[in-house]
Amino acid sequence: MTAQQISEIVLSNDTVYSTANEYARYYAPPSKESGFHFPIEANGEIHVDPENQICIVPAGLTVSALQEQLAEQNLCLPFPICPSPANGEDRLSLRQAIDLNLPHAAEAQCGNWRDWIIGMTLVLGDGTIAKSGSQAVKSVAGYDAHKLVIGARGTLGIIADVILRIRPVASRITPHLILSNQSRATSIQRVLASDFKAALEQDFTMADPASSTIWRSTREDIKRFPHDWVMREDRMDLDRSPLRGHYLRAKQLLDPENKLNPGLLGIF
Amino acid sequence: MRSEIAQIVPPDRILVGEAVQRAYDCDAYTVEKSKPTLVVLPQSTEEVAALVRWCNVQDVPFTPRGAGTGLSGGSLPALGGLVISTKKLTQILEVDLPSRQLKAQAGIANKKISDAVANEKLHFAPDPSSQSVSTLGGNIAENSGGPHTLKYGVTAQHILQVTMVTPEGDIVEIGSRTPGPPGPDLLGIVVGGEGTLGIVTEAWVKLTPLPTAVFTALAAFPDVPSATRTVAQIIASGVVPAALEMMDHGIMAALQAAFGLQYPEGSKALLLIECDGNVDQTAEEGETVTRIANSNNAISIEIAETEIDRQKLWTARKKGIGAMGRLAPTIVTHDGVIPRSKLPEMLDFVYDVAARHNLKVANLFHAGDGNLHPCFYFDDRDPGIVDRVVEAGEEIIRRCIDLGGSITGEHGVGVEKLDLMSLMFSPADLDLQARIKAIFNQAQLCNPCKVLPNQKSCVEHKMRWRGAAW
Repeated sequence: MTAQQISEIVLSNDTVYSTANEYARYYAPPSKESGFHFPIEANGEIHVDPENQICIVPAGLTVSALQEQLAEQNLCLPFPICPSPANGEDRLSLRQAIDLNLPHAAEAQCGNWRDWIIGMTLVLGDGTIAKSGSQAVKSVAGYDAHKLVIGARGTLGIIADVILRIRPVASRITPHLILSNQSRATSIQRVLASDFKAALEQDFTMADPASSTIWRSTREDIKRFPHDWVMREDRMDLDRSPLRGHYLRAKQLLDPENKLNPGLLGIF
Repeated sequence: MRSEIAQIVPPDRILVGEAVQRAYDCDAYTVEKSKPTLVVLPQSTEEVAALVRWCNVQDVPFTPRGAGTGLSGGSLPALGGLVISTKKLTQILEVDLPSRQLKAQAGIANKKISDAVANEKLHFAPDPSSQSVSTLGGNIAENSGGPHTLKYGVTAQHILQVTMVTPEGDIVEIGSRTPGPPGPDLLGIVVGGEGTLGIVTEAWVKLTPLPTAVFTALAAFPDVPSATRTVAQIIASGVVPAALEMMDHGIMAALQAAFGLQYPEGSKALLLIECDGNVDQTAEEGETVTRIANSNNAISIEIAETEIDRQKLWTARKKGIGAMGRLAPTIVTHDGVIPRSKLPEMLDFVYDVAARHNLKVANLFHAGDGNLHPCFYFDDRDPGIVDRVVEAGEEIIRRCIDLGGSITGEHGVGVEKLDLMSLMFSPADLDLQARIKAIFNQAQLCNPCKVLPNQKSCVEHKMRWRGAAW
């Protein structure tokens, strides 16, 4: 779907949601919400610049489709975005992964989404189409709007396309994970390295010692540690954040009518 | 004003007078100048916040400043008022070795962070050329790069959390000691915000293990295209060197004149290649890059056997700009970025532009990420030469954009590149950036007239800064 098509959808609907599948559980239960839900796309053309190791991707494309197209040119995003293939990179769009700032299993080695995204086209709540960043792998020109929306759950803009750094397939990282027999993860916790061992005393599905990240099936009774954070299914609550005023100002400036993914940050 | 400020900080940390105004009227970008009313040296976040609140009450502009090594006028006090210097904010506040994190005040010099943890075999990876003096806060404001950012990333990748005084004078903490928390990434905007979104006073930074092995080589080539082909092929091979720095014959001539450095006969370009990591990986990468350089007609490849050798090979890169000072009294360095594959074409263009404008140019740059630093060297007393330098620079930057690049890779927009922003971004893109700025800064008091072109009340002042140095 092009930025222009997304803009028209935003303008012609009172409410739009970035997601329409199981990964929506990290946003909110979408089936209960009215409004337009952007589909994930198994097909879509990406533009690859192999010499400069960048690509431009329509954001609705699934991660698996992106990796397959890159592999045809011996390139890849070198980290597993879903902790295991069974978790479904074929059911996760790039837009969803970025909206969530979805932790992956090789962040200590590769960094998180912010380190791989060098530009973006966004559609704002008023239908404005704007670009941020560029195709240069290194740039400090202006304010990086594309960084702000990473993790914003689609509430500040709908991502239309993304410019990514990519690497040769030979660079792909295989993370050294600790696995358990617990059922699928419903929450993700990251702690300081000094607290990792203690954090593993509670049931978990999978853990990455390098980034001190733990995937858990536990929902509500997660033991907390200083400076940790938890990403849970179904909800997020920024309403008590000391930065609440900044978030509200961002929403007012970028989506004043609260059209984009309303309710998904627990604050607007 | 001085007596009121003295209610906030002691008089000995308030600087006034003509000499002070001259010392603080620009940073290392000396083309544009504007005098502050006075300069204040707070020692704590609370003092910074009190100063900012006073400025808000009195409607006085304020500009944060670190070591003043910026190259785009980011700490130029564009509308006068207060310069709030971080010169007295130099303490390391906390070190968490198990988590490899350190908290320091914003005025500490970059290199002092690495020095403090060197015994633990850790370092702060961003290494701008100015790292012995440039400050953590300045690096955060400019999202500074450096030779080793090709592998280790720019400053943003090493900042976990900041304490910031907002433009209204509130104290907030942004980011998390555990990276990647859910929610909009405000820290990603603040780092690289050029000090226009608030004044960062403290930061938690990541500490990176020092490599156990380092391979450093200086390869000499008979022409520039052979060197640029080597760069492209190294990147395509999957090797990510720690540094991949290129110097052309202009820099070589300057190094020869200044320090007597000699290079093999017929050399027209040098490539400094550094790989690091564990012993096996580094040896393997060293073999790969050596093979690639040889396949591109390298005249010689000098490989460092010891740390002393390594430092000697780095001399060419680290002293290159300094050596230019022997050739001419004035140097203007640009900072465009292009896709790496366009390096040969772009360098030809740079030489052509210099020839057309009858200017001398030398190139020393971060080849691995396509970040050019064409250096024009000249005597600014020559009639008309400054105009020719400015025109030539703008031609080069325009070409960078045409090739899909950026107007700045690591020096920032500041006041220097205000007019170039509209070449890179459409009105809608710039409007988005204005909205992003307004999340943090809705008035015009905090570091005014930077980054975004044509801001209210800045246009007429700009005419005054320009030409102040010439």
